[in-house]
Amino acid sequence: MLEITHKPESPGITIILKGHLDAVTAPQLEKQLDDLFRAEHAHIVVDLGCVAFVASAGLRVFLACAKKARRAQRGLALCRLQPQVQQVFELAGMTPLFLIHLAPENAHAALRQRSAAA
Amino acid sequence: MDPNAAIDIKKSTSRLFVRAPGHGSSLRPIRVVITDLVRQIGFPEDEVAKIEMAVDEACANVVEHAYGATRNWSWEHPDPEIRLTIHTDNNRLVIQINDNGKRFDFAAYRPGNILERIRAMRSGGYGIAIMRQFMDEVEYTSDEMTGNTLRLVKHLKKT
Repeated sequence: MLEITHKPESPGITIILKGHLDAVTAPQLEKQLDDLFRAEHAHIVVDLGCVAFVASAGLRVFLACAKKARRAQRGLALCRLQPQVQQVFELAGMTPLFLIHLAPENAHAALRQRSAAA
Repeated sequence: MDPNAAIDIKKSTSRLFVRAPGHGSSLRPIRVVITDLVRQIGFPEDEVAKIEMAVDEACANVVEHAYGATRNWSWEHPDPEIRLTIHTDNNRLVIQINDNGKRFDFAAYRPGNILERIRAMRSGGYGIAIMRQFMDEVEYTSDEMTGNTLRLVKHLKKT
């Protein structure tokens, strides 16, 4: 099961996940992220603080999201990864592809700064 | 078997047997059984995470592909289920995963190195790459009698 909630953080948005991101729940996240991209938020921060497990289906969703963000020149960051989730990202070699922060406010600040510098 | 039914667990003196519906609802309870067991065996947390992910990928493949869209499993075994047999021998953890779904040409499937796939931002082929990277041995066989068998082996490292 995966619960998804949003918290606007103008000009971006935080998407807060709670539960397990596996083959069953990954399509639910993919749809939510697609909707957020269509809504044209300047940047998206994904809060993984309450996610205990990420399978390859979840990694694929983040990878697809990183591609879309790059193409659309939007900011994307992840935050509050639990140690076991951080480890999965590291083992899969995905950490260099994402801005990863300890807290959502730090992630938003970094994305705002990056956007201002561009 | 009811797709929403709880998984069935049996223990013998040396083995653990798990039967679960070949359905997405089984993935999480299987992960719980596997992580509890490998922690009890004494694997460190980083290895627990690797084994959990490899088994989840294997079972997700059974649900998605072996029992997937075509539902093309053998009529002699109309009840799609995933069966796991877990034991240790000679300092190895052996997890055998059986299904009676569509067979897969595992040996011919070489998605390449996972890090290269990630760097190229390719969108698929991670499940098997993860199994091969996170486990010490991965072997797949298929025959009419026993169906499809995936054998995942992890060596118990002495500390």
